[in-house]
Amino acid sequence: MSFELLVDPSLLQLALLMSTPLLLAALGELIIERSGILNVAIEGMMSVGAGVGFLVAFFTEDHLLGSLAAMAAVALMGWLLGYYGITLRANQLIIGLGLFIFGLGLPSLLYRIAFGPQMVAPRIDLMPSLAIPFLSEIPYIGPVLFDQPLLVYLTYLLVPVLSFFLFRTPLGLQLRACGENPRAADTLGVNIIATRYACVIIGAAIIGLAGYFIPAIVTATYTDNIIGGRGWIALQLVIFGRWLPGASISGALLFAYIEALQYRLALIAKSVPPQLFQTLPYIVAILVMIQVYQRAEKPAALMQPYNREARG
Amino acid sequence: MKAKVRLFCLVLVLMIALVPLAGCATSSPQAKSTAVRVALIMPGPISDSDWNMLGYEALQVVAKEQEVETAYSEKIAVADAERVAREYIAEDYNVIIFHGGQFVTATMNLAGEYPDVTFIMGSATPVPDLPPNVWNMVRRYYKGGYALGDLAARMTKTGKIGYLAGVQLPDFMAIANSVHEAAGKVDPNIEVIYSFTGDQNDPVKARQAADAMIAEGVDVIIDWMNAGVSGVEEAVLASDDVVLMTTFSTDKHERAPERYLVSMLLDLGVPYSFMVGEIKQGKTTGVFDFEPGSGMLLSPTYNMPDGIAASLKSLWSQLENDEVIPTENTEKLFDQ
Repeated sequence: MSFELLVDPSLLQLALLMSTPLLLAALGELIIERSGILNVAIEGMMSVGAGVGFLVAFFTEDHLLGSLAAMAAVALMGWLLGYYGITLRANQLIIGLGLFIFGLGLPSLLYRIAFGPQMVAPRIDLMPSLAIPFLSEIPYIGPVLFDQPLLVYLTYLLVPVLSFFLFRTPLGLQLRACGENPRAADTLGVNIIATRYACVIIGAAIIGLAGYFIPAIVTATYTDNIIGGRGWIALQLVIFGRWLPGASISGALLFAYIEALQYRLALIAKSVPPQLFQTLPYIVAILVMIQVYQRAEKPAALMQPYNREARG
Repeated sequence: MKAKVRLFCLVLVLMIALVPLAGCATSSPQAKSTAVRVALIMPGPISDSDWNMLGYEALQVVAKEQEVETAYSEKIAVADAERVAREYIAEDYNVIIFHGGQFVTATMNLAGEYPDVTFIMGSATPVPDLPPNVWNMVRRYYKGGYALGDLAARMTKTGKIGYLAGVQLPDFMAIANSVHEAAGKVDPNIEVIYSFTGDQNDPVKARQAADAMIAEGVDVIIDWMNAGVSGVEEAVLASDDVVLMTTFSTDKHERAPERYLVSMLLDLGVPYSFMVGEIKQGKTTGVFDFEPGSGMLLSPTYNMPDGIAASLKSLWSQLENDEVIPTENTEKLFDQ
């Protein structure tokens, strides 16, 4: 195995592309968890985003409408999560798992209603790549970094924007306070309920967009289980990044890189069973998690419903 | 007083519980229907535009040609297959078709338990010691793969052709071997690169695997994915170089009109209707070779010179007539 294989531009370009839905979903989840709500329905939410977005994009032939539909549909799921977890103060883990299962089944049903059995699967045109003038022509790194779909650029731009918002603005401070010490924040006039609802809905909308990324940029079609476990990886990335936007980038890139590399390795290492290469990304994820989790400090009030009337 | 209330409640509960039993005891046994009733159990959704949709279509053919009552269940996991089959049997379905090679164990388990029910199952190779109430449809995909390997070898300009499948099943390995055999006869210098993604229906994995092949210089991909084929298509379409492809199950060329060469079509109505017809005649066991000329056929050809198209059709005809018999190797891959 040569070093050139590990740094092949097409491999790196694909890794950056495939890291985007992971990172975007992780950023959405980060907003939710920073406010104190745990959302384990990411996989189901991404599935709904993929399915609803694909259907709208197919019938309207418009990616913008597909994106907005995906975000709206999953925002609604976020509202549901908020209603049960914030207003009713139910167990967020159980509600999340319920929404996860619901999210896997709903797009499948909608797809069946829309298309039924068909000889040829419906297809949408992929979002085109947007080559940035001059930058995309830089040898080697130009095509890797600067010849990607618009959503890739927006996702990576969202990282510093979100980081600035969370740590440099009063509103970001209020948001973080909801997740660290909601009672103290409440005494200072922060509306905990409204803030958490807003975070859950906005975070879910971003997760929905991450789900739509798959059919819109990678596959051009929708199939059952198209998300393929990436929602769970995104959940892990939040912990990997210690609930910091910037730190999640490395986890997303690492996982996507290993995932893309496995197929190159499988082509040249014929004596190794391909099944071993297929487990590589997940083994790496587990090993990294073991190291990182020990130092991770979650928001102090994560998963704790807030009751204004309760004592103490 | 409280004791009387408790006693009353207990009697009431017992009465409610015993009513169904009383009903069972007094009802006369239901007469079992002797008409053939066929149930199809599928592993995926019929909206997949692939394997399961073909099963659904085939069931319609069976219902029409054999004039039998039919039913189907989709998205049935292997672990649930026996339970679902038992439910159909309890409703007097006496022919159970398991649509997929992953149900062999379930079939063999049920066959002994229900000798009056006939089962149809698919497999990569003939199943030994076939029970007297089981039909075995043997998938001879490798014969079709031979033709596609020959085609790919004639169409490649880089000398590298790819074979991409999901799960490393015996018949899928046999296809890789027959592709290699056919390509080698056209040009011994042609390199066959294969990859198994682990999932027949994951287009994201298929896209990445196809991208890896294309990066290695492959310019013709023989795809053997189910719902995952869309990922291969997108990799081919996104390539800066011209990469061509084939697929199987259905004709998908309109999804990538300038990239598809041909599709190997599966008409499952042929084997299923035949076997159900035999069952109606009282023959409850046998082997059906699902192969070129018996349910497997070629789609129209695209994006190839007329001479190569004629060569492909000629070879296909020879495969149908057993004038060309590829080597069947389901044990290991050609480079192991």
